[in-house]
Amino acid sequence: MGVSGAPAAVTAETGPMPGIVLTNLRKVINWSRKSSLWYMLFGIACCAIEMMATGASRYDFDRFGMIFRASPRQADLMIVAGTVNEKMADVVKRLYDQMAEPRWVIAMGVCAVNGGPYWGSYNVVDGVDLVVPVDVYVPGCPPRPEALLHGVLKLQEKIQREGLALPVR
Amino acid sequence: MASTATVTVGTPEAVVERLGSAFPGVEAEVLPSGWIRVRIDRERLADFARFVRDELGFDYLSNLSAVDRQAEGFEVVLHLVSIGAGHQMAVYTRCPRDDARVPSVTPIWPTANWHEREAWDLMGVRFEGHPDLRRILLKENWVGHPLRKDYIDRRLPRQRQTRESYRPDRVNTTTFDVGDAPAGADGQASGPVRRVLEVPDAYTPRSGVVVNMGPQHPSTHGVLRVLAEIDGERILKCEADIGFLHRCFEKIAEGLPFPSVIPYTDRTDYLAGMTNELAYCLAVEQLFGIEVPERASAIRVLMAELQRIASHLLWFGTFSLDLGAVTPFLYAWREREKLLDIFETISGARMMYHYVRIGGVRNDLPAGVDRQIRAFLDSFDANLDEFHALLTGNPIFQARTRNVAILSKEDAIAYGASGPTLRGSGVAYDLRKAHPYCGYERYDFAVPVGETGDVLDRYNVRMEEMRQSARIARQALEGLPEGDFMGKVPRRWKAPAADAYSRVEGPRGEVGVYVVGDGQNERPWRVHWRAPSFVHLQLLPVLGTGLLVADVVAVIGSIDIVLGEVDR
Repeated sequence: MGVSGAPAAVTAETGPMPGIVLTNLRKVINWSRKSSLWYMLFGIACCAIEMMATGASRYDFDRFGMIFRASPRQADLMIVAGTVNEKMADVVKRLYDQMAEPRWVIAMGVCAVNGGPYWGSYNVVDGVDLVVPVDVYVPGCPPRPEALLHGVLKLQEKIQREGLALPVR
Repeated sequence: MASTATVTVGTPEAVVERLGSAFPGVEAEVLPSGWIRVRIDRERLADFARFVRDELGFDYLSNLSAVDRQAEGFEVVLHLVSIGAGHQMAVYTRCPRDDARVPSVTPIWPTANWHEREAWDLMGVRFEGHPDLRRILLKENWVGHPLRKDYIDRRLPRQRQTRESYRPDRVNTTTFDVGDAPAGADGQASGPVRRVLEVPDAYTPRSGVVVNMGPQHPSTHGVLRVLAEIDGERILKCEADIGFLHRCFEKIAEGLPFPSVIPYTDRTDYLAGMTNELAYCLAVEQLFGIEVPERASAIRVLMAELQRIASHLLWFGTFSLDLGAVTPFLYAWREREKLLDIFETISGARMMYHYVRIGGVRNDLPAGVDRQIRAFLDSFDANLDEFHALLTGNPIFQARTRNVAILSKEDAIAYGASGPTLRGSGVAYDLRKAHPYCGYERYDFAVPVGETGDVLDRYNVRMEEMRQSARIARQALEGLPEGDFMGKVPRRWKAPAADAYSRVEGPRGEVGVYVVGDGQNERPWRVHWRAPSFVHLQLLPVLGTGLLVADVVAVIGSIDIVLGEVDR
């Protein structure tokens, strides 16, 4: 067992070698990364309220292993929840640079996706992907908590597919 | 600093008479709505302002805005209120385009400070005698004034398309193409074809250590930046830096038909969408002379009061979180989610409703929602008692709020405080009582006021307001009249050449909407938003000086700001 075509995981009780789990390093690292996505407590606009709702009693982010950190140094995920403008863009970029690799970004709401209702106006950056690379886009104005949860699940799928080497961003 | 409001003049007509004798040649009249309209030349504005404050009792500046009248220059509009006598006065003054200067009224009403900075930033009107006239919403090195009708967006396309332009080493710089800018249009738009303006931060420390808080900080309720100069843990001076969420609402509104502006009003103060829609619709209805059916008014009152509860619940949760109590946050959100369900049943959305429309509301209350609302209201009093049991008596909470950041009655009025912040200081001024709209005079409710004006008083006022709002909501629901939910509205929105200003008691304070029509287009010529949070944030340096660093968080929480409304 395990010479070729290694299974995803063999349960410890039923496998041929009880107490031993066989998997590969890539899967186990990605599994641990996706299961404890600590997100930065950082809201910009209206979407931040729905992000708070997602974290609060009814929708409960914690069950995905997601807890907020107030410092970018301890965060894995930045949820850009709101409109990014010219004054804020520098700050968003700086916060992203302060996060340690591996790091991911969710653009929450149409403002962060492409400017949304404020697209093309004089002070608004038309999408946060002009400033930092984005992994998952969650449209909506604002997206419902269910939509944000869906975005997080999509990000988890994406993380599970990543290679061992850190991606160059 | 304090303007003592002891003088009151009987009727609006008497005010006009006094003005006529004191300022010969001034155009003053009383409008059917009760507003006094005054036109005065800019040379006499400073004297005029001092006179109306000291002699006529106009102690409260509600709003100051500037309108681009193109060839006729700029018009600066002041909306003044006499809290004692209840008079309201709109003052208009003009300045030519090539000499856009108006005397500042900040020495008379300190609240004008940020209003004037905003008008300078966005409209380019210079206020002579202003203590600190710099940009407030845009970057320090911005070129031009966007709300002018001839403004062209001169940001280089490259900057908007690549990430590289946001290099961290170039923080606080923006590249502009100023090549063919009209030289000297505002005294700065001339120079080489391309330039990067490097402006140092406006804040330079005096002696102590400067602590920077935000714009990413869990307790600033959004993207607020606070600069505090400290000595040990004591704050010597603090200042708020805003504009991180300025998203051009007023400029966008000028390009949309009147009804299409409503969704944007939801997004200014995103915790009180219903109230904002209501304020905007009232202003437009006033401009067009539209009648609203009784049933629609009652539904609006119901929505506005439920919205106030929802907003205060969120404030209660985050305020307790700011002070270190985590549990009340979860309890408050439990109740707020019930309200969001009600709003969703009625309008289809949790936060951005687009429900209050010009002339009425979008749809009637759906069948069965009254049971949902009743169920919420029935349990709400007990829930409030639970909240009090969770937090109010806690000794740590008491120690952090009692006698902290006391705002005196006089300062509250002078700095334009409104809503619970004003009432926490003991001024029983509520627009629902003072200038009723939507038939508020028919509802029975009390206006809670504080005594000392500290953080705890503002807290208690908001908590009691929730109870009163529940009372009003129940009355509105029980006495819902039969009839239409939508009045007669014009098919084409050809605006009259007039203006309208509506004042609504929002959860955070007075929401004022100033709408100007140009007489030919279907779009507003100008929309100005008087945001209570914007005005209240000026109190931060006043209240914060001398406190401990941790108390600043309590102050920010107690004035309940929403940054979407501050920056618009």
